[in-house]
Amino acid sequence: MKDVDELLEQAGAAWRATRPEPRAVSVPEQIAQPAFISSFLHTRFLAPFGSLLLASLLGVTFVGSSSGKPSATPDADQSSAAACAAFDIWTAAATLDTQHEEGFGPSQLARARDEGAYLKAVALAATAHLQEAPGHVVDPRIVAALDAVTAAAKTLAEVGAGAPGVDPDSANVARADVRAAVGDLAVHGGGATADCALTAVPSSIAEQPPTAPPPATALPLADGVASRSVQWSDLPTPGVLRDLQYVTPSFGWVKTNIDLRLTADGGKTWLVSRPRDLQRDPFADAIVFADPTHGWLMGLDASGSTLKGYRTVDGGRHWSEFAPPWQSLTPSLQAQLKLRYEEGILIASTGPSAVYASTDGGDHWTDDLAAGVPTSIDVTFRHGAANGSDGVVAFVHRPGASDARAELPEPASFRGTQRWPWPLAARMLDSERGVAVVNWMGGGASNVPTAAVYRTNDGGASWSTASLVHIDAVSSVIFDAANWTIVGDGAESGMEVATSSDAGEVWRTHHMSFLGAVQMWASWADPANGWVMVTVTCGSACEHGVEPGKSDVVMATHDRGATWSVITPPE
Amino acid sequence: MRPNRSPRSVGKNGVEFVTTTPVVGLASASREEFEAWLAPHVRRMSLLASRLAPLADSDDIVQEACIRAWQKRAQFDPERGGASPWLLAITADQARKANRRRHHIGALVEMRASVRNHDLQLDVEHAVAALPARQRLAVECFYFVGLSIAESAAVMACSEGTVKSTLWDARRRLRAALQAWETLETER
Repeated sequence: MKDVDELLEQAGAAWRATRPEPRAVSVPEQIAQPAFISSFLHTRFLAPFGSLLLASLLGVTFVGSSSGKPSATPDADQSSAAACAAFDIWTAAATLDTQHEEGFGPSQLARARDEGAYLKAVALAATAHLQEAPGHVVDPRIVAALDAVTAAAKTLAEVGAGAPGVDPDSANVARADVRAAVGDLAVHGGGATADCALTAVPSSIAEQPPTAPPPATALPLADGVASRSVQWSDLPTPGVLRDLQYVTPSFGWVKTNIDLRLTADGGKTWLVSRPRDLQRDPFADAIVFADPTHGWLMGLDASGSTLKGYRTVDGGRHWSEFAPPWQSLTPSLQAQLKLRYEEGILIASTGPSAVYASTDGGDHWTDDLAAGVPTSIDVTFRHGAANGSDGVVAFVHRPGASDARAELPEPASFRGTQRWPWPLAARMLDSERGVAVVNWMGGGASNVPTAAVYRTNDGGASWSTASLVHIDAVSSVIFDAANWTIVGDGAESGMEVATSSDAGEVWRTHHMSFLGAVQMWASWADPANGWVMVTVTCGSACEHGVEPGKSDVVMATHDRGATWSVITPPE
Repeated sequence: MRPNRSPRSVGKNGVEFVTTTPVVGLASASREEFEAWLAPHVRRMSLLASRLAPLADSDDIVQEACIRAWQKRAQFDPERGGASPWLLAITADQARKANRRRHHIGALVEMRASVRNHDLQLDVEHAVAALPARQRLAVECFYFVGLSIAESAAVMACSEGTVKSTLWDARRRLRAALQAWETLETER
């Protein structure tokens, strides 16, 4: 049979070809009211006097500040330069001390001094960005924020140096001013682009990580900018959350539409990171962390044509480049790009039949390791379950021995009913013991989707049914020797988590509902600790403190799905 | 740092900073300019409307979406991702409303569940119709309407990562379904 992807492409194209040209649309005259341009915008976007001075030096003009009407649409160059400036500024704001400091001792003074030097560098970098395109339109808020950063740099340097007559409390005021002026600049001003790399924060100012030295080819932006962890609520509010991985109970990352955020304390504080010369959003198409320090990502460069790879050895503080197995990808393949890390092997795939593996962290890639793996196995790399010509087959790669292939039998109680097997996973717990899960969909009149859990005790040579679990649309399975967790996201506004703590003898199911949830996407560090990304659309009645309107949140469980709490403040 | 909770703050020099989205260009467009701006997107808006509300008039849905877009144009923020995801999301919203109004869902299931045909194209359509709602929506957007992942995410009101994983799951399910049917056909 042809590849499903290809069949769908053909079916879609054939259908589109049959569609007639649509009727032209228009805005009826009675609906068209004068556009909403008022003195409201004019007064709200007035820049402070200092900004006007700076603007005249830079030769920029303001949107909406001269006539009360938007004067022009920013062109691409300027958007990019302004976005770079905005990005510089908000990353700086995000790293400032958020405590109200009293009694300035040596450590507070040192911190003020550091921050002063750092803000000065950021102000210079941002100014350089704005100068790249003089005469263009710049959002006045960027200029206002830049003013605040410049003023705060001076104040903090003075406080840090213990200058006579300077009230240490002015450091608190300066930091608050920067935060107020920066606001959500990055979200609306856009993220950084390739051009931003022109003005990297000088490495002499960037705080070096305490343990691992940065790789020789460390990239600019991430350095130093994000070297202090801050609370999520002190970071710019992202428009959407795009992806996440919960790696260990304390370490995980969340990709937003503007940056990558990593936590090493279970979500209490976050570090912002992101290689700078990738396209803006999504800046990476695939990210994986093997442990709290080693991570890889692949994404398209700003031109949108070249695929680039970056890796970190210090938990996202610094990133260095590696060559991915593809130089470029068609949009269709890009949509299927995945990075995984299993048993010391980094795996990149754009579908079941295009699998590359690297055993040296991305220096060298080979598709040899994929040889002999049934092409429809895409759940795990070295062992998995797949639909074969004679039923569902579990495949187990055994180093030093021939690979095991064995049928996963249809459970006796299902025989005679119409069910489609949907293989999900086969995982080995050690060299002999393993677990596999198949969702048998359909089932005639009862129509109850049921997951069958299989067990092997002979290294995959034979499998038997361990238990049947009533759970729909299984999305992930997480196992250790005794603790098995299966997650299903069949319900539109909820998620089911089935857990067993005795290797599949007794199952317990928790239903997690979130009013207004339209999508959930889970990642598990182990069978007890999970994160789920929830996209919520709720009206006036929202749960968990989510404000009305659309919002993405990350929730965490530490008790196998029995209770959940929000770890990212919702928008 | 949470400006959307307290939109006004006064800086030390007494000037108010406001952090709402700046309105550039579209808000001041004339009716004709707006229609010209929207015209290149009409074809795909129409395709999306026919997939999401197959028994409603797609031209009506697109016309309603056009009016909605005009009314909401001050909220359009080009920094957040271009015209087409925004217009497609509005179109999808109108299509859902059309479905609710006309109670066509029952009729749709009936139509799609008609006798299985040897034609592969129809087999694919049947299998797509049998997918869970979110997976079907993802397949409709990405394969049938021909949207990008980002545009599909806008229509589905979810993240791009979720679109990809939903498509991934949908393909797995379709592969299983199509293989099962192929086996049945062979046995006949």
